[in-house]
This record gives sequence, C-alpha cells and structure tokens, in this order.
Amino acid sequence: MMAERVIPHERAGFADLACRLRGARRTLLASLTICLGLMSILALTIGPVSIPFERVLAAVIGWNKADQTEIIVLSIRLPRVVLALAAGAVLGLCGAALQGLFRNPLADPGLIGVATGGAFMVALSIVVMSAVAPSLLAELGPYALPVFASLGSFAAIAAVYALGRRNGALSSADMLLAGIAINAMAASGIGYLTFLSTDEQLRTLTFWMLGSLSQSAWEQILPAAALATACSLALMFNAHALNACLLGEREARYLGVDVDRLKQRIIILSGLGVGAAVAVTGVIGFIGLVAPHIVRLMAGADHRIVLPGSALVGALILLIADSIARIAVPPAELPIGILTSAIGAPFFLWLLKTRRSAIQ
Amino acid sequence: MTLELRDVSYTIGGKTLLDRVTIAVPAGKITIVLGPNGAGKSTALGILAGDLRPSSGEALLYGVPLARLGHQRLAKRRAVLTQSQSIEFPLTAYEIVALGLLPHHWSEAEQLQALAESFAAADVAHLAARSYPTLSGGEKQRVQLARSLAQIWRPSGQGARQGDVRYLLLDEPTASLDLKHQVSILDRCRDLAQAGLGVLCVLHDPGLARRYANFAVLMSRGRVLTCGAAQTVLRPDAIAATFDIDEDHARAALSMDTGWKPSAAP
Repeated sequence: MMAERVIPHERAGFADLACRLRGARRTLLASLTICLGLMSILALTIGPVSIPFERVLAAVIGWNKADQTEIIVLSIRLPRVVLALAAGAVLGLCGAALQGLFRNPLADPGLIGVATGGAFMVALSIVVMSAVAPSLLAELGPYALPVFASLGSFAAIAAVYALGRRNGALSSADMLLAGIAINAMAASGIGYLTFLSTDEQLRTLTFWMLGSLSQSAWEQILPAAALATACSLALMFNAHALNACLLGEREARYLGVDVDRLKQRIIILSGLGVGAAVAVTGVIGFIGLVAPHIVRLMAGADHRIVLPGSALVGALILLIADSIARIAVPPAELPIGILTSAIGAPFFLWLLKTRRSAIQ
Repeated sequence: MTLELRDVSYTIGGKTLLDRVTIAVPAGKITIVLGPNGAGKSTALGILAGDLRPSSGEALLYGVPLARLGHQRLAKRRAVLTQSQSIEFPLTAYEIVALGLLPHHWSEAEQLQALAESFAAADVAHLAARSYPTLSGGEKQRVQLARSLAQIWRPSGQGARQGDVRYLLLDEPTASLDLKHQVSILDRCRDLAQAGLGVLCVLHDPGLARRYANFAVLMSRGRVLTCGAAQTVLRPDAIAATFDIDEDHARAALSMDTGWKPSAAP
C-alpha cells in the first residue's frame, strides 16, 4: 500500500537503529552483570576478617566447612550475598513494574504501602500471634514470617488498587494517595504493636522497621530467596505488555494486551515478591524507586531493558549497602535501611529537581 | 461484511451517551463522523474499537460480537488512533512505533519493512531516534499515526486475503496538526481505503470531511441525525442543524462559496 514510498537506505537506517538500541541494551546488561559478579566476590572477601580471594573461591568450590575461614564464607557471608542479590533484585524489579503499570515514575513498593503492609503483618505475628496462636507459628516454622509478610504486602497492594478505582478506571493519583494513607495506617498499627510489645519483641520490631541482612541463616533465607527469585523471573515476562501500558491503558488494550489480567499478575507477583523480601530483610526503602530510574537514565524506558536492568541495579545497590553496613562500625552493624535511604533519599531529591531531564 | 454498530445504546452512571446508534464502517471506504462536542462520537468509536461494551444493541465485526473476538484477535484486525496521551517515560519514537508490531508475529525483515513504511507514510522517519516526550504535539500525533499504520500493515501479498479486511479508527486525528499534515494524514487514509481497508474518522472540520469522506455520519446528543453517502449528507442545511449554526456559517465550514469577500485594503 505504501511500498513505493520507501527507499532501501531508509530501511537499512531502521535496521541500524534497531541494532544500535539492542546493542546498547546488551552492553548495559553485560556490564551490570560483571559489576555484580565482582561486587559479590568483593563482598565475600571483605569484612571484620579479610579473606583472600583464592580462599573464598576454594571454600565455595569445595563446599567444606572444615576450618573457620570456610565457615565464615559459606555460613555467614555467602547466604548474605545470596539474600542481598535476591531481595535487591525483586525490589528493583517490582519498582520498575509498578511504575510502568501505574504510568507513574514515582510509584514504588514503599510509597504505595506494600513494604509497610508486610511489616505490619510481621509485627502482628511477632506480638499478637505468638501469644494467641503459637502452634500456628511453630507449624509454619521458617516460612511463618515470609507468609505473613506476603499476606500483608498483598493486602496493602490490593487495597490501594481497589481504592484507586474511579468509574471503572484506575486513577494513578488516587492510587498513590490511597497508598500513602495505607502506609500511614500500617505505620500506626506498627506503632501500636510496638507499644504493646515486650522488650525482646521491641528489638525484633525495630530490626524490621530499619531492615538488615544480618539474620541470614540458610534455612531462613532459602524459602524467601526462592520465592523472590521466582516472582522476579515471572515479572520479567511482562516487558512487552508493560511497554504497551506506557501508551495508556486503552491504547494497550487496542494493541491486544489484556490490561486487567496484567494488573492482577503484576500486583500478585509484586505483593508476593516484596513480601518475601520484606519478611527476611525488614523494610528496605528507595531501591524500588531508584533502581528503575538509574536504568532509564542510562538506557531509556523500554521494559526489555528496564526490568532486567532494575533487578541488576537493585541487587548491586543492596549488596554495596550491605557491605558498608558490615564494615562501617565493627563489630556492630548499621541497619541497612539507614544506608539505602541515606544514599537513596538525596538521589530521589535530585531526581525531583531534575525530573525534566531525567524524563526526556 | 463490515465493522458495525447495530442499534447501540450506551449508558453510564444513569447518563445515556449513545441512543440507538447504527454506524457501519465498510471496507474500502472512508466514513467520517461529525458532530458538536458531547455528541457521542468518541463513545461510538470506543465501542467500535471494542474498548467499551454496548449497554444494548450489538457491536459486530463480520457478524461476530467484538467482545467474543477478544483483544488479541481484534488487535490484529484494527488499529485505533486516539487523541494522544502524554507519556512520562523516555521512550524513543522508534520504540513507540515498534509497539504497533506487538500483536503480530512477523519475521525481522518484515518488521523492519513495516516500520520503514509506517515511518515514511506518517512523515516521521527523521524523528525515529528522538525521545518521544521531547516532540511537539503534532509530531507526537504523527508518531502515534505511524504506530497505528504499523499495526495494520501486512507483509506484501497478504493484504487482500479473503476475510482479512483491516480497519483504522481515528479520533480527531487532525486536532494538533498543521495544515500540511492534516491533509497528509487524510491522504494516507484515502490510500488505505483504496487498498481495501475500512477507515472511520471522527473529525471537527466539515470542509475536510467533504473533501475526503465516502460516507458521512452526523451525530448530536448521542443520536445519529443523518448518515449516508457524503455528498448527500454534507449539505449546508444538515450541517447547520447538527452544529446549531446558521447556513452561511455552515457553507463556510463546508468550504463552499458564501459570496463573502475580504474587504479591500484602504
């Protein structure tokens, strides 16, 4: 119909452009992966006791907890690194997916109450469930907190979603405002539970609110890391649909995307994923907000790069923050939420001030 | 054998936006819908596109209710150009247009051909590498047009296959365009209609309608006032009645001679 209008070199130009965009995407993902690999090795070597690289490698390959060094690497540092990777990745990815779904660059699992909702349920299970239904907690064992945190996150995100509906259409502004309200409600609930708690419970609660990767024994982190990783992988498959959503919900539907299904899927996956991460690490702020923006600044808004890129950047930020947390004030540890927010908040402010350039 | 609304009413929140509307979009023709603000034009287009479900009556493609076809199958058959929405994320124009390929599973060579032809037809090839949010309103509209064209593109030789009539629905596509691109977007519509596609276009300018329409539909307050062949529908009295203006203005709107001359310079 329009074939006569196209000259061959134009088509070649588009092939070139497509190639360049794809090449840039691959380069970024490859360099992020390399950084993450190097940082993981670094995180295994540094700490109160410095362990040389070849011993770390020998310990990981041999998987033999014979001497003290090997125990430090395999039972203390490796699970932390695994947790940092899984939790950072799922936080970054959920942030990217929610921002895409809401078509709002300020959406984030923290801002819309997902993390606080999870923390509230964890607080509830620590303070109330332990008194009311201790057998249920014992039954669930190491899965108890991830399960409760996921339920809380899921309930928060479902509430935000239901409250954000107006005349059958979702309003981003309503949803964010509802999220802030849910956040406040969950926070006040946590405050009340804090008031009720014993000294020991209080310490555990404080740990949740500030976040830390220090309680990472293998049996605790494996179920959570597995769930977070599964959710991350499942979220990756929604890149095309999320791209279409950037045009607008109606436009996405016109392109054949079942938007309602997509929303359900993203919400269930981010509720479960963030819930699982929050359950083991406590509330870790700003990664979900900041990681996708870093990727967009570097490589544009195509979700085929934003989703995997945010996962890598999120994992990288959390790994760096955790390494600083471990070595900053030995033998004590800084809560990690302090570090990610201390790095994340100024970045966020800078982002607000320069939003135009970040977006264009 | 068309895309059509049969006796469709649409009520939301107790307000009737469409009242027993019947519109057909025949293949190979341009059908233009005209009417004042709030006439229900966009609602009718939303129902024809399968986005809204009629409260009563039927929206059909080849006799099959649109709801039964589902979004994915509809996406392969028709593209919709809405009044452009802002996008807050830094996608390139290329990435926006490439979204039009989403419903299809074409080879890479076919995809590139589709993109190159669509970019050229919408006159935006030079904008491909630009970030969409930095484009002007008219440029955005043309990039969105290119995306719609990519969606209804077909690999050569498959265009006229039996039962594969495609449809393009446009909601005030000329609103933010300069004169050259207003004419050129409607020229593209005419090309598409000549290639056998069904085109439905909501317009505000009766003059443009008169030049391009094969069929015209005049709507007001949720009803179809008149419809039929463009030359019989687009007459000054009908336009005057539809838009509630006097016939002199209607003649001017239709770009007909009104006998009015600019006064000579003193």
